[in-house]
Amino acid sequence: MSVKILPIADPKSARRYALKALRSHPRLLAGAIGMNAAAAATALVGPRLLGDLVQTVVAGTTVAHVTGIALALLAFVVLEALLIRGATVQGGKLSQAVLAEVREEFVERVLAVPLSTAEAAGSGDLISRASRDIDSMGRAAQYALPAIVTAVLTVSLTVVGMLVASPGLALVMLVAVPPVVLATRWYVRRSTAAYLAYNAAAADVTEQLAASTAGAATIEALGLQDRRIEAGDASVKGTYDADIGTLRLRTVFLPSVEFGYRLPTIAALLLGSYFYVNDWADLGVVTAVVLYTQQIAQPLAQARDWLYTVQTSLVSLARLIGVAEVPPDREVRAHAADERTPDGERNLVVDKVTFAYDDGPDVLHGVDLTVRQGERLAIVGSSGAGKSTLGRLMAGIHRPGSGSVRLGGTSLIELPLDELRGRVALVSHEQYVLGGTLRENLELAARPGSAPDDEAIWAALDAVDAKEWVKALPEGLDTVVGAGGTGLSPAQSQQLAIARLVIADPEVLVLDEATSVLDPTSARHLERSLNALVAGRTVIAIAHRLHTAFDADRVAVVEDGRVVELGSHAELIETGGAYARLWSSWHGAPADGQELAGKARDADSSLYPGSR
Amino acid sequence: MKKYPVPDPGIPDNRSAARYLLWLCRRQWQSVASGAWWGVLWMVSLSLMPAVLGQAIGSGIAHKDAGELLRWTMLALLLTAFTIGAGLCRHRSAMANVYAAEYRTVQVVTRHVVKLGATLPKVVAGGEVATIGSSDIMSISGGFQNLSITVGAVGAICVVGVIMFSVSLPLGLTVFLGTAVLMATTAYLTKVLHRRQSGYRSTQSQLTAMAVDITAGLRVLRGIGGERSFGRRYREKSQSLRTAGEQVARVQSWFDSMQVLAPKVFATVVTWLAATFVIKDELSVGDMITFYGYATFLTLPLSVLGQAANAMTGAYVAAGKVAGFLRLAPEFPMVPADPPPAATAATARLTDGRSKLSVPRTGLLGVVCADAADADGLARRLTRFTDSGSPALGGVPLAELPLPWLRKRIVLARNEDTLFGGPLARELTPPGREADLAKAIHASAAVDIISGLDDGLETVLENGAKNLSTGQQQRLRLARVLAADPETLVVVEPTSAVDALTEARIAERLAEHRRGRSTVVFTSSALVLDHTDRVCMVEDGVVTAVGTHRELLAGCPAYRSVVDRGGE
Repeated sequence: MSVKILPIADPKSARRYALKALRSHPRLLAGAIGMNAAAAATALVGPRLLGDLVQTVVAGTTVAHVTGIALALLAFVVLEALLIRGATVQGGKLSQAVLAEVREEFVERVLAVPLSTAEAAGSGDLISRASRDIDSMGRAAQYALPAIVTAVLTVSLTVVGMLVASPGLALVMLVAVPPVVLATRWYVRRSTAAYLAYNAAAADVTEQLAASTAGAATIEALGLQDRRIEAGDASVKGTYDADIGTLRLRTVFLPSVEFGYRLPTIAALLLGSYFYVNDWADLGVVTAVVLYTQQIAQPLAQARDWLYTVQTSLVSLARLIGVAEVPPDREVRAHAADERTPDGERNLVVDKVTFAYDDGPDVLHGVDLTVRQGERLAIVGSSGAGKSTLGRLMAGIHRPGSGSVRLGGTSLIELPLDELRGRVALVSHEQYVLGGTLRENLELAARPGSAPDDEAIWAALDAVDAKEWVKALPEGLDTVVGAGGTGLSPAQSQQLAIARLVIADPEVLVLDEATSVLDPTSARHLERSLNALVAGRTVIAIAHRLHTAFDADRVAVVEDGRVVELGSHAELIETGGAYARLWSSWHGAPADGQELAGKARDADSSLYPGSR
Repeated sequence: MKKYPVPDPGIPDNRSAARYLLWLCRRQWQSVASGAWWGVLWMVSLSLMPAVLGQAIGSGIAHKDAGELLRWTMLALLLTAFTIGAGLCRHRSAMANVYAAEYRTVQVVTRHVVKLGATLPKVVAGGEVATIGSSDIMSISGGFQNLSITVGAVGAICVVGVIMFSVSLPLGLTVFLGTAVLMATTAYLTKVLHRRQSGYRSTQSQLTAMAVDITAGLRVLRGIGGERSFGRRYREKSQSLRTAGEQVARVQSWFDSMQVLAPKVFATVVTWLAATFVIKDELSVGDMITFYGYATFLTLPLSVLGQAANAMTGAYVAAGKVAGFLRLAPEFPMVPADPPPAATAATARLTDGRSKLSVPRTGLLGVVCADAADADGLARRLTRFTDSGSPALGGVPLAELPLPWLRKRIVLARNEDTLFGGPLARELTPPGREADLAKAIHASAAVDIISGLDDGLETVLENGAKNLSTGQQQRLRLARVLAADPETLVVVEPTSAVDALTEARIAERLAEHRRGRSTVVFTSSALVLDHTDRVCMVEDGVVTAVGTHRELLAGCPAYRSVVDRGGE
């Protein structure tokens, strides 16, 4: 049972995607870059005027002249501040627009990922993309990208300013190039992997602590104290090693880059005095150039500190857009057939269906089954026989490997999703309460454009025996449930899940162990009141509790991916086959139960030689 | 640099936030001290730079004095090298501080979680511990990261003060008063900005929660067709985050422009003032450039102080939460002691006075509760996970028995138990228990699960075994507790999530596997009950009938109504 990770886009297409997203807002992009550049250009005037000030003071001047220069300086400073403000606003709008697009597109794609792919990957991969990767993109777009853009613009324009002041003295900037470029190249090649390793290790610390917290009672019951301390310490060791890894990189990178951007000041002093002595530059120009070399330190230091954020965010972006590379498993056709039986019924027909998960072996081997409109069919069989898989195929969730599942003549995988859910819906034993109010949790099942009124919601809750406890909640239907809200018991969550199905009101209901966490008496009560409410609808119930089979019109017994028996409860008991054995064993009849257990042991001991 | 994890993180001072932080400081005093030392050296060396540059231009270049220039330039070069070296040392010490605070806190919190055990869920929400694990630890280490730079900033401000006042008293005063005003302005803007940012962040985490919700609940959405309505809700929320982000950018833009405007206006004023002094021959040109340098330089240590004040406040709040968590005490402390002989006697029976339940020394005892909710309470009482009723072992109340001994002697297994991550073979064998794992796996009908895994027993399980179905998890939990092989095992509904065939296997093998030991099974499964030696029927919390499964089925209508799975 290997976990398959979802696709990750290659770094090149991630970069292309990022550039395209930025370019799709040309006005914001131009505004942000233009104003940043203008601000950086304005900032160049300061040192020049200051240089003039020094020059005139040395040459001898009046207070009025000095005041004039100072006022001009102030004017440029105000202009620079205004430009920075404009650039921040434009940049903020731009990054917010791009971020919103990236995350909305990601969620849209996740909602369309074939379920079999999502299941093979496990929920962990998608969850970390939805949380950590989106957050990492956010940090990069909000802080890192503007800082780097500012640094690049400041450095380039400072060089321009130097060239204007004195083309010869501007050469001092060249001494910065080798150390900065070499150190950055060295670092960029290594840092992504190092910081990703760190992120993974840090996530492990949180995860181990969360697991120990969730299982604190188990730790005490089984005396697992030392083992959990060990697991926690091991996660600390992992982070420490990863931390030291990134620290090593910074130990080389930080001083090299810093040396690079501090060196031009020294060069400017030496070359400046040479120029001054030879009268190629006056004192004002030399002062300005020295001050320029100082001006690049701050933005470069900031860009340096944000560099890895940009890199890791590109990795995150590759993971976010990679979801789009999953091939779709539905092929929507425009028109739906409406094939009816001579009695005017729309049957659900499973026709020679096979199915395999990914490249695994077939779990269904040519299943044929016809469920009449309005019929209640129970599917029983042992764990791993393929019951749930069959149920999902009958709900149009999976695409059959070969053969087809048709409702009224239309193949389920050719129906658009909206239309499919109006026809077939499935509730499984997995209950998941989504964060939001109770009403929202139920409304999401409604067909597009038809929000159910309170009356319909209460009727659905009544049908699943949930009316009482919902009424008792402080805010009734508006109570916030799920993550961060009122906690619901597994039984309550399952009732909600079935209530959603009632609201969806499809032609065909598939219940996959949908009442398994309820105690047997409540489960049976719920099933009966549900059956009364959806009378006339086709119900397919997969169950390990056989009273469900007893209550159904027909029972299909699935073994090893095949339907081995099909008929009413009474017929199958009479036949005395697998179902009859199952029934008597479940019912607690001694002799058959013993025989059954004996057989089962023979079957599985061959899989596990060590048990003999 | 010290290595982590340390073998023993020590006993934390949990009396208050300040005491906890002081305790951490004491534990890592070397890195705290070296961080402060390098912090001062680094920032002071930075603060000397404007003076050196001023002198190089003023007395070297302006006077065309090559010797003077070379001296000052060499000094500038040395100073630069020193600044870079000291900056690196400071960074490494600051990181050592971060690691020490972060890892030691993780270690003491983990140890405390483990110590609280079953008490934890009763006294604190799981989410709160998770926040400690993620954000609070980060806040504490953030405070420690700022420690060295803070000391450095204070040192630099003092050095600059001495230089400026020695050059010119009125200018020095102007610079210091000006920076004080600047600092107050920045502090105010920072506060406004943080308020906006925290609003943005809370919307952002709501949106993240929604995305996580969608991915975690994907199967449910798929079954019922909620994709569209959820996609729409996400888009709406995402757009409102976008609007909030734009508002933050607007506040941020004022902040950013003030960050540029204020120090530059200030530097201009100082330079203008200095220039008038130079004209009046009260100041040299070099000094003027120096003053300009300091007026701009001082914004660095001042913004460092502002940022550090924020980080320290955050660390203090987080340390308060950690100390508060560390103050929680387990309901029943684990005090090792020798049990009284009455409880260790071969005839010592586990009994419960209130329910009149008596557990035989050997054999499989089934307990059927008319109200399913009673089973859990009774099971927890018999194993002293709650103190109520009057459970006793060999007549000695459980509350008077040493807990470490009791936990080994009587084990409770519930469906709420967690499977922890790790190699399966290890996770299924509780520590300090010698048992035959293969036999336990066979007895819990889990053989097919293991053979279905790529690496069999060497497969590394995720925490919570989320990749396995509920039925598979249930069988693995049973295998683990059977491998623990305790003298008395109390197990609640061990077959609720498995199909009838598997249930039949487990029922038969359980009795065989536990032969010679004492087992209490709370269940309503006829299949399991049929394999018990004896069954107790519990109604309203009291045993009302005792007998074999067949006897009760025949003679006890209440029993039949709970257990019988007939079709009416």
